[in-house]
Amino acid sequence: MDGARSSEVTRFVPLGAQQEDENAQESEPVSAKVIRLLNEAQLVGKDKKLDCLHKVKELVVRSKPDLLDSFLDEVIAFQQDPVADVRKFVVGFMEEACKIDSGLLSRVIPMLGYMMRDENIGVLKRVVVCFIQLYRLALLYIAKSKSFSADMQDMWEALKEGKQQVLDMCDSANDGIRTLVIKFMEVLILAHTKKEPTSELPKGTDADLSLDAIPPTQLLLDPSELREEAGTAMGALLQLTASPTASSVNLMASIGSLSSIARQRPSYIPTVVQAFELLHANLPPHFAMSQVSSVRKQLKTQVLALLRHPASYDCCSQITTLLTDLGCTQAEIARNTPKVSPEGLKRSRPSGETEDSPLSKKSKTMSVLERRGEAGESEVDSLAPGSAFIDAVEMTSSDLRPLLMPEAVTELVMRSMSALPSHMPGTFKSSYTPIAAAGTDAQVAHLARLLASQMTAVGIGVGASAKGISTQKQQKASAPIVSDPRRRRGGREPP
Amino acid sequence: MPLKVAVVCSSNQNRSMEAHNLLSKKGFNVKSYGTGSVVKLPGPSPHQPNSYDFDTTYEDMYKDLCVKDQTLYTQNGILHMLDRNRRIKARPERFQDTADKFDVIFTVEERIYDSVIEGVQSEGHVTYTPVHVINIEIQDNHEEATLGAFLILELCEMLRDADDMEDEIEDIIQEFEASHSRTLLHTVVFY
Repeated sequence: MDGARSSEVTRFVPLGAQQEDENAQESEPVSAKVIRLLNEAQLVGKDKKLDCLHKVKELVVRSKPDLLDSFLDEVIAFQQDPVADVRKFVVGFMEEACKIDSGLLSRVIPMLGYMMRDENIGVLKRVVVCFIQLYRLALLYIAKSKSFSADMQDMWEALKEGKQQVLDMCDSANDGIRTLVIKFMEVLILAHTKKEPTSELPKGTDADLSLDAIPPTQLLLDPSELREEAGTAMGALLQLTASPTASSVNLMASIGSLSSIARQRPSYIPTVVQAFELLHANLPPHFAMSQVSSVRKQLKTQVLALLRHPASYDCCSQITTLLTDLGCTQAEIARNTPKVSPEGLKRSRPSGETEDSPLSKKSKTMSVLERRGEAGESEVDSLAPGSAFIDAVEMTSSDLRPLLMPEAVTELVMRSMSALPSHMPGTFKSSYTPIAAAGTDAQVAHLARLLASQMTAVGIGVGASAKGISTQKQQKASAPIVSDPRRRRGGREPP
Repeated sequence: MPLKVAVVCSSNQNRSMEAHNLLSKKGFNVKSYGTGSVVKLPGPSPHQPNSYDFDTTYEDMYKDLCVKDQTLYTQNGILHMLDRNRRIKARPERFQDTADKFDVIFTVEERIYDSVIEGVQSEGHVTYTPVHVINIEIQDNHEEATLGAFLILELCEMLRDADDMEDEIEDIIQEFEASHSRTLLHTVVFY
């Protein structure tokens, strides 16, 4: 009888009764409205459910945020809904809730960790995007706390677990997931390292987060552990960039991230420039012409951005040679080269070093390592796999450079003529630029590095032997090397 | 979730509006923009374009050109184009001024591609969501704009029909390039 009556109500309601219902709903308290909508969402189909939930969000997040604490769990309960769009909604709700009230992080972070096991790729990507934002928020929240409770400690443990879950997705079969992991690595590296005197400030409303935000009295966050994680993440990012199987989208993302890291943490500039040189010389062989063009264009844009950074002065020669190879004109290079005054240059260097000091004449990687030792603190784990490859290339390059006399190079060219294909490959055609300054010291050094990178990739050369690199495949399989504190304090390399 | 698409040219008049018109008729969630500092329309000679602020409505541009030389601007199709545009939206929009977010942004010239990328990156990171930017070179005349709109539509349909757009986008672009003998530029940036 009641069922029949209610069906009559849905088919035909007298206008006066309808108006009474609407008036009653308008005057109903917000919390009662939210309860009604949540109950309705439990019973209806997908479209109406999302409609109800969006109304709940409008009320609780926008109109009456003081109700967030009361209704968060009720909304989170929908995280197990069979509809993917509903689960994505829940993630979005949690994200907005935490941005309004950081105190909710301790409840939300464990839930996010649970949702990282979702089988739907769309939901998983949404979770990762949310985690990237909440990771920064949570670090800042913990750093600013004067004391820590059991809840905060649990949140920190859940955050560490979530962080590892995201980093493990680096090997995901899904390109979109890997792209997001790259972005997370960038965020982690910047958050876990200190700003430098010439650090570029992040643009927009993004809160600037670095290790400087963590006071020495902070009990939960260990700066040395965080720095070590930054080093490991940097190694993984460099390795991904050097991988011959990387997709063009992943490369585009990693080039952007590496450039951003280098501009905000200028001590990484030499490492990143070398990584870009290696990439330019070793683009994945499976790339189509348009992918080669797109990646080269991205490289050119990001290397120009590095050139504009005042702290790139030491790498200017390397950068300009790379830019020339990427098709930059001299006018473009000149336009983007900053005018650094001698005073500005001295201010950007650690104390005790001048332009003519022995340190500036050593290889770029070694000089960066030694500067860090002089400064008394480590910012980068330079022993991670990606850096070992770069060091090997640098060693082989130094070995090759004096051998590249005109006669030797002519001999190399003549011997390789027989191996040339009968038609110019499209990838070569799209990437070739005439050599602007053939025979100059800078060009010979660049040629040495290009040869060294290709030799190291196949495991030959003094650098590959010294670093134990046989093939890139075997290099990928090796475990990451964690930095040794003795090296940071300028001590001898451990046995 | 339906794909959110943007099409960007320099003045938000010809190429982007042609694509906007076609895509919205086919049911896509689409917006269009220009990246120039001012809106430019052809004038009596190549060195005398008609320039307007982005705040000027298509209606006002239409009336202005009718007053200046109705015959000329009817013959060269500019009034017809403005008439089409005013039925779609009130005024041109500048990409650098929008807060809207998209899944894919199409550009029609390399310099516009550069401006769009710079525009997204200049805002800094807020949500860390990715957006794919794809450039298809389309010349700025009515015939090429029409052809270009169909090309953009075809690519949008391929992206929409993918099970996982982000995972398949590289293959989709290569397939598209092979079937049309065109080279596209493609990158990903983050909001």
